[in-house]
Amino acid sequence: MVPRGLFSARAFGTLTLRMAEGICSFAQQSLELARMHGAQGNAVVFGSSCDQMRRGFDIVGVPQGTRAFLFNFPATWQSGAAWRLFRAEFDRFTRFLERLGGCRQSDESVAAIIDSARDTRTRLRSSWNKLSARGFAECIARFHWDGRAIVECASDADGDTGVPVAVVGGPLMQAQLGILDAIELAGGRVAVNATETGERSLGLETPVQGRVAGNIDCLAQFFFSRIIDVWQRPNTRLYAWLRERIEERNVRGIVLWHHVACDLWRAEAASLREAFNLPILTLDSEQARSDDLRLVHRIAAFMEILR
Amino acid sequence: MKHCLLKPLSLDAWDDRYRELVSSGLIEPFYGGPLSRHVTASGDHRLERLRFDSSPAALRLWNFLLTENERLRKARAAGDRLVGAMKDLGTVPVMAYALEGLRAFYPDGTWWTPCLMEETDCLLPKAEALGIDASFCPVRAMLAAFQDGGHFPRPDFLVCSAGAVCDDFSAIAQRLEKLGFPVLWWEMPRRRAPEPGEAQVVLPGGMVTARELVDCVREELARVGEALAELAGQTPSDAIWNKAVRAANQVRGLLAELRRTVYHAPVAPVPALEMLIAEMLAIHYCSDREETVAVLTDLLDEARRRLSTRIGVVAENAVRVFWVNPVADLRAMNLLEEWGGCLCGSDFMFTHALDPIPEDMPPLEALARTALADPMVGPAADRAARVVREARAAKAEAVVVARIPGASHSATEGRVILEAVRHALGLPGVEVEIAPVCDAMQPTLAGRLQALLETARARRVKKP
Repeated sequence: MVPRGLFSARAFGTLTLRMAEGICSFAQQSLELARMHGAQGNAVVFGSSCDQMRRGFDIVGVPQGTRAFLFNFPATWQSGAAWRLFRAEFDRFTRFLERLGGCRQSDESVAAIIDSARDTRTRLRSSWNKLSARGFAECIARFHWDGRAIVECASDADGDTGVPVAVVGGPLMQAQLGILDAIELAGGRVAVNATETGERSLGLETPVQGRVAGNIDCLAQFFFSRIIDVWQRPNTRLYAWLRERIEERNVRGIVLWHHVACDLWRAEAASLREAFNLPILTLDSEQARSDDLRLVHRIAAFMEILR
Repeated sequence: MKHCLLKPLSLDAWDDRYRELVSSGLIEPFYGGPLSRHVTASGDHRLERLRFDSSPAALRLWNFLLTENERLRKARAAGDRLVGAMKDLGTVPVMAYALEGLRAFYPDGTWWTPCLMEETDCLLPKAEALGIDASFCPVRAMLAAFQDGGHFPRPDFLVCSAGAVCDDFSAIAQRLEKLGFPVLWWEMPRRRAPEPGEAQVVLPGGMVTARELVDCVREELARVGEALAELAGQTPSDAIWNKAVRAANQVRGLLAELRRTVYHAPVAPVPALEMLIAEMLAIHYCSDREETVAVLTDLLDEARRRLSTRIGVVAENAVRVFWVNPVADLRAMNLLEEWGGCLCGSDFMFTHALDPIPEDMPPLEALARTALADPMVGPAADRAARVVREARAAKAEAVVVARIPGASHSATEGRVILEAVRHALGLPGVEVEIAPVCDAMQPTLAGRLQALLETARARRVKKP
């Protein structure tokens, strides 16, 4: 979405773990990062997808005045009002980017950007079984950082060996990718990375005939229709997306990953178990270091059960 | 002339008082009776630890509150359809009560059941078994209550606001839907200030927001209204919603007068606990709108009578405290008074349900504006500004923010509110977490609250 003259990057990769009472560890770190970027004169964009980030914006974003923006994502998605709200937010966000110095691009350029984004995402999606779990996650992170997808590199995946599991949950940051390694070391294979920073972040693959029109409506629709997340109400889209992949890839267990104090993901454990009738291992960010013996043992025990 | 201090009654003492009142000709509504029956019949053991106001008006208030589930069952048996409104605290029930044959209530209210039953209900462990553990707000009790069906009757229709709501509630409501209770979700966008050049709207309570947000909520409420009307077998119309707004304003007007009378009095004529309960009536009329009017009228008459005869329920030198957020344990409101404080103002999370709904515009527009004035859907700074304004008007000497255990908003809002209060008014403030049964935490609570009250008293001495 970024107009010419601006550079955007997801800030996830640079986050490190820190705990604060009652605050989701991800939100807490996002706020610190936003403060830091704000102090450097960079613009900061928050998403309103959870209460903690919304309230975090009040504390960190609002004092930054016109260089901070809270994108108000509607939680509902089945009504006309939700779409119109998203569409209006999209316009407001466009104005924000223009105020920062971005230039609106022609419809043709936007169409080309959408096409390119679709192609890149498609390529990334199809590489899930060609790379190690970490390699795939890092490719996606790179894509979110600079829009590039480098997946042509030789496959580093170990074929189809290992017990297929789905890792589902909130953002898995660079420092936490060790969880994926630990799963593979214990004889598992991450067949679905459905964390916020994983395959799910690439959105739905919806077939479009020909080139997408490049007007702002199309761009907004492109994004609105691709949101698959736990905070949507109802969050049936997330479950439908998961079901398709869990069945297609013969997943035998689910690792639910959530940040401490993230209610939205934590509450899904029982629903996931009921929906897919699969064993679930819940991991939180307090146990995120892959050299944590307790974590390694829990993952190993889980894999043993699945075998 | 000094005020006469009216002492609160224990449950046992209320039984004696009840017998006296009955023998002197007390006339009660259909849900009347001695308060102690709620312990024996419903297991509301917390009542044995509470202290109550001694007036017949308070007796009626308590009986009204504690018979809600029973009254809902009777309404269902009489053919009424039950609407479970969730999260918006004060908007959907206004609409539902305008439709004949509908009765709306908040299953959210079950968050007080573990307190009232001193956790003998086991709703919290049952919620944990359903996947919602102690890291969530006590409103998780609602989930177990839905499942076991032993508290409130299962609603015929569930409607829940989504979007700018707390994560706990959103997650719990989603879990509820997955357990087989269909929910009509409607969007409540986060309130924001309008940008330069953007069309704007003034909300009840004085906040200003962007026109497009009001349009969104109005459209959503129209959708909710259609679903409610269909349930009632009626056709929605502005005439129906206008009637709803006028009826809601009658209740809100009474409450505003009661709050003014009590909170601005030199010595409070109604205790903090009864004020908390009375304010709660605004959100869904405790399932009976007409009776709510009667209950509040009685309470207001009693407050006025006491004020005119210089009768108070706290000491004259009690520290005037502005209270933010409802308490998970009702006993906390007693403790505030026992330790030398008194309530002079409140924001129990639903100030938008207390403000009058505008009557000079189309009703759904008015309801949308009112819903968007919800203190929980906007920045904590907006909420803090109102707290400052009302605390100043009430001559508050201290501010307490009650943390709700596990609630997502509690992690940050207290700091914002207390900083604003200190900055604007120079008042001391404290944040205290109150569990559904706070007995084990009472020494900590006492330490924090008593220190606050002491600080506030010391500031009196320092003033020239």
